[in-house]
Amino acid sequence: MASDKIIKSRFFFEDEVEEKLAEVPTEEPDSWQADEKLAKVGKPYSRIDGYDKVSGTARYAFDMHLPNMAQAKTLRCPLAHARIKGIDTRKAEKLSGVLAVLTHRNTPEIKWYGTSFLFDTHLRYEGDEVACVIAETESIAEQAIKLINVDYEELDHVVDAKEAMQDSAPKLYDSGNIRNGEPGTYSRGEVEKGFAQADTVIEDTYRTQIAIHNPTEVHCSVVNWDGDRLTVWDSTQGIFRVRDGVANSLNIPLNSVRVIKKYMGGGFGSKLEAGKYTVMAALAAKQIGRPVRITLDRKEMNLAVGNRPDSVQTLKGGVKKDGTLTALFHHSYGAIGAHPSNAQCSWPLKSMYKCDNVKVEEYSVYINAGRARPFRAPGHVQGFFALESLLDDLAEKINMDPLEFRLKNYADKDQVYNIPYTSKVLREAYQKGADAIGWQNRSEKPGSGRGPVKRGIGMSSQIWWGGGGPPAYATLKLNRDGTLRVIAGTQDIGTGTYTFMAQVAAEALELPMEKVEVILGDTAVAPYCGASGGSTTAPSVSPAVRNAAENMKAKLISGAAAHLEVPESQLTYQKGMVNHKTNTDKSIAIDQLVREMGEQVMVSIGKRGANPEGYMINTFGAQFADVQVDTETGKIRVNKIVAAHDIGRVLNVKTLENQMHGGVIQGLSFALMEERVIDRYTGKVVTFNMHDYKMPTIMDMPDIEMFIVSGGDPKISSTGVKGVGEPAMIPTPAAIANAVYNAIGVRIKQLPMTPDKVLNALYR
Amino acid sequence: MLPFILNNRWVKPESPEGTVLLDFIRTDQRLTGAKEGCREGDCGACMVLVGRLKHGQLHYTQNVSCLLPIAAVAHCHVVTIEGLNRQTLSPLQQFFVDEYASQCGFCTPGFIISLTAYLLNGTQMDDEEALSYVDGNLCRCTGYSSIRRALSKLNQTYGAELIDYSVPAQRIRRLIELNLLPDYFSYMEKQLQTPPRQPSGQPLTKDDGARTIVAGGTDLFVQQADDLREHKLAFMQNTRGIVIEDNRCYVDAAFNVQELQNHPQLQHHFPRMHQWFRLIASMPVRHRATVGGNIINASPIGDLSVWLLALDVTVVLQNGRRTREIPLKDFFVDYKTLAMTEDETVQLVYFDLPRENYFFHFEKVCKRTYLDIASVNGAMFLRTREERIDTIHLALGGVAPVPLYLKQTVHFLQGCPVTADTIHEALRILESEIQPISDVRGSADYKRLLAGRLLWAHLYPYYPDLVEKEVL
Repeated sequence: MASDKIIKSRFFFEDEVEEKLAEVPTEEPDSWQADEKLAKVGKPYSRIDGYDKVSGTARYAFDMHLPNMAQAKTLRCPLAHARIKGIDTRKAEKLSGVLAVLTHRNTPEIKWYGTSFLFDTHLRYEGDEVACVIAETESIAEQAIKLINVDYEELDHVVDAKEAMQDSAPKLYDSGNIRNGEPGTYSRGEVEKGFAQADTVIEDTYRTQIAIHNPTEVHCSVVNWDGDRLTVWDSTQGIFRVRDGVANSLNIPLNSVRVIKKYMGGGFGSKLEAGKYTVMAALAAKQIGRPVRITLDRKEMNLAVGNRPDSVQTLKGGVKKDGTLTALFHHSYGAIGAHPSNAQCSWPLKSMYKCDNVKVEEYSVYINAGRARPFRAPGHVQGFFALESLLDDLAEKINMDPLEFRLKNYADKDQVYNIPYTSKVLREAYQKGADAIGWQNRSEKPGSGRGPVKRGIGMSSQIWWGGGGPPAYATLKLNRDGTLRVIAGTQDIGTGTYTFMAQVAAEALELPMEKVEVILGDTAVAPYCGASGGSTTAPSVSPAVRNAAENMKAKLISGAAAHLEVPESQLTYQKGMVNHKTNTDKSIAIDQLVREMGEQVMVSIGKRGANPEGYMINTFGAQFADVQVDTETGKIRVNKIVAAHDIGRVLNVKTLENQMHGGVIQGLSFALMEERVIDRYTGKVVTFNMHDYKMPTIMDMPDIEMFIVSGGDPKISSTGVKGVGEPAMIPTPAAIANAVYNAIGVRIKQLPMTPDKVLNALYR
Repeated sequence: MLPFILNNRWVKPESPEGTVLLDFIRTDQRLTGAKEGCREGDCGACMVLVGRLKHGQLHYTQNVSCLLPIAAVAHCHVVTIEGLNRQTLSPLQQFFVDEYASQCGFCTPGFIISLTAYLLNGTQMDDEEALSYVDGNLCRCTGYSSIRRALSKLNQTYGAELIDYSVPAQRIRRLIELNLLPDYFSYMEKQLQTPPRQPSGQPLTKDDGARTIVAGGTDLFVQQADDLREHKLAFMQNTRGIVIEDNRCYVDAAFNVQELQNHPQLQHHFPRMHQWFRLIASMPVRHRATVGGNIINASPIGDLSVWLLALDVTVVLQNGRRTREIPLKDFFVDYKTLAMTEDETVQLVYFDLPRENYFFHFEKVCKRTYLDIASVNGAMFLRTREERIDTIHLALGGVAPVPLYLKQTVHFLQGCPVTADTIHEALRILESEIQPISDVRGSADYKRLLAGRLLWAHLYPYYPDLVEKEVL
């Protein structure tokens, strides 16, 4: 497995195709087969970093403390839209303990968001960065912020996407508020002809809210300069993205920036790039010659570091009496905040079901609010809520069971690129899920239950990519005592990357888990891996580790051959031993062999192989919800969620369950609770803390039953793994919404389904 | 500053007494196991145990350290996750690992602390009780199932045995033997008894004018933690507790909400009290929040205020040696405006314990069942005699600038029979008494609709046929 090549690699990262030149191996070990019996992979190992987490010794970026470290806080624009006429920082600078105040006047003009700057004088949302104060303590920095006197020219604002699309709306950019000036479009077949063929056509409008990632660990960095070399401890999902972003902003060489992330308290898509805060801290640290720690508070988290864009989706679906979908149309707009982002949410409609005639028109709209960022299955969570609501209504119109309707329109190949899937195990997911929820007992007449508390059952399908791809690399280092270190430039964002990397290496080299240690999240020591997003981490990096392990085996055989003076072809590797095929005396344990190399460490490298040409890689699943609705108070209680998914090979059922259940609860939360609210008159966010931005507690948890219906997918890679983080969340809100309809017989077309919406739908 | 024990050693903070404990722990002491998630008592990532001597016995509760000024823990034993760690994981920590109850891990120390409080205090030792101890701990990523399993395992392994240890010192000794607490907990009670114990903070006396009076501080420190840092603080002292005399119940203003919830005699009179009080904030907040603080805060949506209004409590105010009394329903004048002077403090509330033929009911509607602020909440006290309403008290929150006692509706209902006609007429009056506004917790229309539905909901357990016939 010597030679490698460079290819143009394309795969879906979040909801966009990422294209990168990538080095891939020309030869790979045989893929583990779908039902291959493996000794370590798939087994329920506890997290190898469990001790650190339950003892509180796990050190997060938030916890980093360096000698002589200063603290930084950010002054943010209190207005929805303004221009800085003047800024007076003298009082703040005079406050005892203040070390520096950065503003647009004393910092280089650093480009940000394409057309804006690190410190822009045109402030486009409440929360836009105005100044950064560095002081001896956080408390002093906070006080100093209040002493900065900014003369704002208040500008007219717009905080609603629909209003922002009007010609008369205040403009965030000279080119207008519609991103790119036009909608994103897509079409296949002839949608009008499709509708003409339909026996029933339904058109309806569905709305989803803006949601905030709100990871428990706030965004934060600690930065330190050693001369011209910068080290950044950052709470990030993408160490290399942060390295590149910071180096570009500061115009310093890439090898001068080292980004480290060992543990992080969640990201969910909000921590996929270098933040302004990191660059501000780096500028300040350079200026004062001391390490600087910068943290955001919960309010800043709710204003300035990302959100899931809202959506107003008008969908139209045509269906024949026999259940054949003849046409689907999607028109939507959504608010992306003040800077470039993406509000598209039509992928579910384009790709989930077999339909020959599809048309899409979708607008991403600038408003005076914080910028949208990818948030756990961007577009899909919103899109499925609308699509699956429409589908249930269509099914009801033609008197067809909703599940049967979905099976009728089952797609056997990718609908957009017209190519086969590497694998699709969705029928089994439907079956398992339907059995577990008791689909056959579902009331066929919505709202027919007796008493004030009504019960219902509903379901939703799911599609996502999550196949990952190259480039992703891993290095293995074998010590002379037979212990192994796995090193990769990916990061464990809580999902269990440390643990499954150890399992894959231990599997391939047949070593006990205790012998394997994993180092991730350090750009200075680890080979490149992509950011952790799009459910791509496990499918991208697990094959790299396996391939590195296979390369290590080859090396060990070569080493044993040299040491034992026998031909390599006579030797095989087995359980930490290199054995001679016929002569048992000519066997050697690997620790013994490595010891022969003195104090050297044996190193191997592995690369993620190319994805198969001409195939689409998708994850699939279905979720079923059992809910009860109190028609007196409008409160919805989710009793149970059944989640049945095709995610390729399972690496570890423990970390899998965390991802699965965590996704379901975030889906439930999106369906019932979370919503960022902006006051349209002031343009200010009113849900800026956890009092008002609600997320579930342990008391809100339904029972969750999980089924994985897939085995490994050998077409994808040497490990056959697909991602799981995003698929887990995608169908939950739609399944709950359909269950609520089944319970009360009234469709709630807007999320979150709070008691007020339910009660208003029932009684007004 | 007065000293306290942090884990296993005395510390004497030099920081201003209004400094919140979390900052002292993390910044001064560099103990970073307690995390900061929100600084508002809403996430529980900063949870610590606070042990206090009560009648010579050491009692521990879990508290959010972000809302706790260090002056409030003088002569207490404060325990962070570091104070629970030993060479190997405790069984509780090990269950968290085995059941994968920690994913990103940021909230985990807070959960371990809350469940340690449960081990120290649990009386039922079942899953429902264990869950109630983590109602103030937010996890954004595991989905909680694994945490539920970990606490179940804890109960299965130790629950039955621990239930027999009801004396705190004996419970502590047993927990040490079971490796669930480190050894040093065995001598904390003695440590706190010497040096001689003083009340935490400064006692409240006449010359304390310059001090800021703090009850539980659970709202005050959300709003004003930065400003209060440099203030001299005086803490309301719970000197009287609950006294019941001649069927009248007197509650000290500094009595905390959790103690109220746990009070056996009140539970006897209000059998569903435990269930209702669990809807109020979270356990760590209830441990700090006080009856008097809730009234003084005058939140239009205060759960406890609504509860107390429906009990028709009387407030006893004190100014020096002078005291005066005022019914709570006359106490709330306007938004955050109270019928009291700056020199007065709330000392007590009292109410008559109900006798036979009465119903009491509480309802709270919000987005999230627990740890939420209501859109609308309401309480009803109802006593009937010979099929007619003998006494009724109705209160609603979230529909006016104050927690609202529905005087006119109550006046109308007095003496009426409980019939559909009566209730429909009462609803008409109720509609005219309320003035909800639209805000993040719901539109005015919705709150109006809800206010009416709540009256039906109050009546439903007692007059199910009537309600089903009329509204369902």
